[in-house]
Amino acid sequence: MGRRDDRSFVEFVTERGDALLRTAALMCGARQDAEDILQTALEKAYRHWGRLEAGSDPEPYVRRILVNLVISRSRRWKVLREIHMARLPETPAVSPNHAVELRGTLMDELRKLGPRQRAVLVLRFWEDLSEAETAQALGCSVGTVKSQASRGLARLRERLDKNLAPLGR
Amino acid sequence: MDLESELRKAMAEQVADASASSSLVADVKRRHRRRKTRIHAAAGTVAASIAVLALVPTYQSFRATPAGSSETTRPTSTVSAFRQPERPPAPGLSRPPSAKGRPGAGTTRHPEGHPPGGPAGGTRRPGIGGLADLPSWVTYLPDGLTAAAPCAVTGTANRKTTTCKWRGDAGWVEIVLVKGALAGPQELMRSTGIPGRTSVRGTPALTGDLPGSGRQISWLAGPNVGVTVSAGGSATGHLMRIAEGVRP
Repeated sequence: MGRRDDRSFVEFVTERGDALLRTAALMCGARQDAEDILQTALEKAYRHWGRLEAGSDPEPYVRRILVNLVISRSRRWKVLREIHMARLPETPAVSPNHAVELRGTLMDELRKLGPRQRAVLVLRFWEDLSEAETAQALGCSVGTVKSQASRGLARLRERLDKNLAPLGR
Repeated sequence: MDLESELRKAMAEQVADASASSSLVADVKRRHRRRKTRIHAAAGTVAASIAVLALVPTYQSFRATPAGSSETTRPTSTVSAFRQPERPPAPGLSRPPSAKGRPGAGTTRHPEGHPPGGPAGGTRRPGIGGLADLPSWVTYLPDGLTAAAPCAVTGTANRKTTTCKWRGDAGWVEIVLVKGALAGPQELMRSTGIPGRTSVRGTPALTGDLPGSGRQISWLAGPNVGVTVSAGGSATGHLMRIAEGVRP
């Protein structure tokens, strides 16, 4: 069985770069952080690229590096994040477009979730991974994925109800 | 409200315009090269540090100061590979009353044969009388000793043995320097019984009693350089100090 070469890395990044950047952006919450984390993740993958089987799909491997990096970085920046989040929440204004308002609020609330819970929701509902695939990417059990997804959605629903109440929803 | 589908739409909207930079591959490879460079630089620094740390004791062992040098240090019982042992002046050597009166005091070490501050400016061997021919690699001997005979050199081309002896009221001292293939200090031991373990300037050494109230200490001062210092009488009390002063 052959090993992956430099050309296959270029092809992979060209083909899957956008999708990985979007996943990273959703998990990080900030575009600049996402680009930096994606580069770091790809560099880590590039170090061991030659050891990957030529016939295997490298994306789960890269995705797992990405998820681990996001979670590690979130833990490191937890204090700063808490200071950032300590700002008073913006008062929701009545908007003629409730759907846009709802999605904006959803994304705000998604960013406030813990890094692991956020990663579960992104992998499950953005990447459309199965519970088993999500568990593999996160390095945890399927049961943990289920509980994290359920708690994450419940928290989003609870916060949405609170935030969108003034809008009459 | 179907939260899951709203969440999907919200996420799709959020990253709809996100696309990876066209230079992503180049950026990743540049980052990889930078990382490798950093690792190589760090490894080089570590290797250089290790080399320096390994060379300092070697350098110290070669940087012998002649016997009778006025640069004496406070006597200490601890032995360190990075510290020069005490070097009191050889008997009879005049010493300036203060280091301040010496040109260049405290800044440089003067090479062997050119002790500082000599009024005549010529070469001055340490010691007087019987110690006038003290070998340059012996930097300390107790008072009251005179050379029993000039240092004798024996052996073959592969193994050369230099033996120097001093006698006097203070007892006797014998220093044997062996240059040649040596497996360890045990080859140099002449004492009977089980030798004790000690160290000379951080180098492992063996010590033992000699017949007739004498005592000896042997160690490898360098690759294929063995030293044995034996002393008898009251000079036995100076054995370790004499050994510390031997700089082959």
